[in-house]
Amino acid sequence: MRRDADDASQPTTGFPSLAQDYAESSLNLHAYVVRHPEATFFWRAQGGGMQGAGIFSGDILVVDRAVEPHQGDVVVAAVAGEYLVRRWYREPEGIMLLAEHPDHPPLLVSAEEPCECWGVVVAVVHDPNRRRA
Amino acid sequence: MTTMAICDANSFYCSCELAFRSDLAGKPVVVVGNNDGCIVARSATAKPLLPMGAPIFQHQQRIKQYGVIVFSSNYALYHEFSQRIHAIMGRYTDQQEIFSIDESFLHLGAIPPADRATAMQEMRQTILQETGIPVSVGVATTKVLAKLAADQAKTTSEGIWMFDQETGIDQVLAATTTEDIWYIGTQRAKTLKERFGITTGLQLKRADIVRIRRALHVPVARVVCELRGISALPLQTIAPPRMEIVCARSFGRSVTSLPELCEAAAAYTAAATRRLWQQHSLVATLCVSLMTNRFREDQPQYHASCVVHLSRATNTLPELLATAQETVTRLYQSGYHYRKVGIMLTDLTSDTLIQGDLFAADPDARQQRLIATIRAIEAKFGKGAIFFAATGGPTPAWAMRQEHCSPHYLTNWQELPIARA
Repeated sequence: MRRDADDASQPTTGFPSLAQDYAESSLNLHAYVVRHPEATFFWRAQGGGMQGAGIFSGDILVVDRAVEPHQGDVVVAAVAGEYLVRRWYREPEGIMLLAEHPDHPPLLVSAEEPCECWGVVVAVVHDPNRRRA
Repeated sequence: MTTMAICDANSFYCSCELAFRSDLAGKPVVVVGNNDGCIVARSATAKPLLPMGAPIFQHQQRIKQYGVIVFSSNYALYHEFSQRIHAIMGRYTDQQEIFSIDESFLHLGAIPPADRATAMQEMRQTILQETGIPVSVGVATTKVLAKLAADQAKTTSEGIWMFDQETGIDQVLAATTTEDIWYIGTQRAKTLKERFGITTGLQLKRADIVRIRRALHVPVARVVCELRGISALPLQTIAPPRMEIVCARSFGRSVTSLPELCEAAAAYTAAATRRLWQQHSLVATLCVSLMTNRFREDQPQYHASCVVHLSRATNTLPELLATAQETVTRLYQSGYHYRKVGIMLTDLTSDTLIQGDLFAADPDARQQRLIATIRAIEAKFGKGAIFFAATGGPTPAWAMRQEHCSPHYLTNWQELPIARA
């Protein structure tokens, strides 16, 4: 059962619970992962190019647009009308997008071509048993 | 004093459609309303090509010629973006009036006057950064002037317009027709021209307010005050409950049989009643209307409506469903191709009285428990998890046509945007 912070916990009918005074609100995973609710979007990853970063095809990406990308951050990038999950490097020649799989060579997008960091991946939801597939 | 701002999104529905479609950036995009009928939003590049409100079927040639991309309206998506942009606007003010799906009035009194322009510019940047939705901001002393400033803002690259000098305001007002001023509209503009010879905003600002009030009543007099920089329309930070609830949508195809019409009337009554519950109201009057497709001049036309006064104010769905279906049956004439059924609930009052009776030995108590149960089930399992069989279920045969609807990116796990890894 999910309990919110302001919900009273179930009272005991017999001996009063000694833990009651120490009760804290239940951990809320959504609040932990989603730091900026207005700026956070969920995406679906497709393909194996980021396996080295722990992102597998079918995983859900939590993408935050309020976060500035640092060098090497995993981001969703908008390149030539397509959205790519890659490591983001700002280089003098343009934007370097690195995959994490030997089959996917680095992609250098020159400064003249449109390439935008759509948002930074702040968490990955992965089902190791593939029960949800 | 520039204390009133309005912030509104540019081509809001189109901007939402483009949020996950960078491949369409810069292309002409339109969104069409219910049943893929008329254009309800145009991207900046579509504006010179197609008129607002035009039925889409009249412009197929142009749409093809210019490669215009057409989307059916995806209200689940727009609602999500709306919540987000209004929440961000709320960070920049102590008092916010959410005016429409993509507009808020913001009180700027708490920000030092010298910092207001910077704060509004920062708000614009933040909304764009966090949601991808571009917005414009108009700042002035009153709501009516702020609206005008926002129109001006759309013509600049900064996306902000501040009316902080009288001369600047008058210059814009002189170039604005009365029709384009908030609340005035075509009909009142006509009266202003015929009775007073007033055609521009500046003339209206300088008009005799007493004569205006006599001819066009208090709301227009308030607009005149606001044009003079005197606030007459204060912020409404709490939305008043709706005085009427309307649910009228056209069908995906023409409907000729009475059972299907009854089903549609029941479904719309259920939708309207759900909104009635949300705002904790009771309804005393129900209006039901039927109409054929007025664009099909080759077909016989029929339009009928009926107002039913209920014996007492109520919120119980079975009673409202029965009334709606009886009325449709009474209005129905065979041999017509119906295109639309409308249900309107009016004479609304607060439901607090009936709630007070909840534990009394009242036959209504069971109905109130039923309402609470339906609402609890819907809150847990989503809309459509439970329905009256009379409404035809989640996807009835006559349902609205939405051939070009984008995915429900933000509200369905199966329809998330896809990033290639």
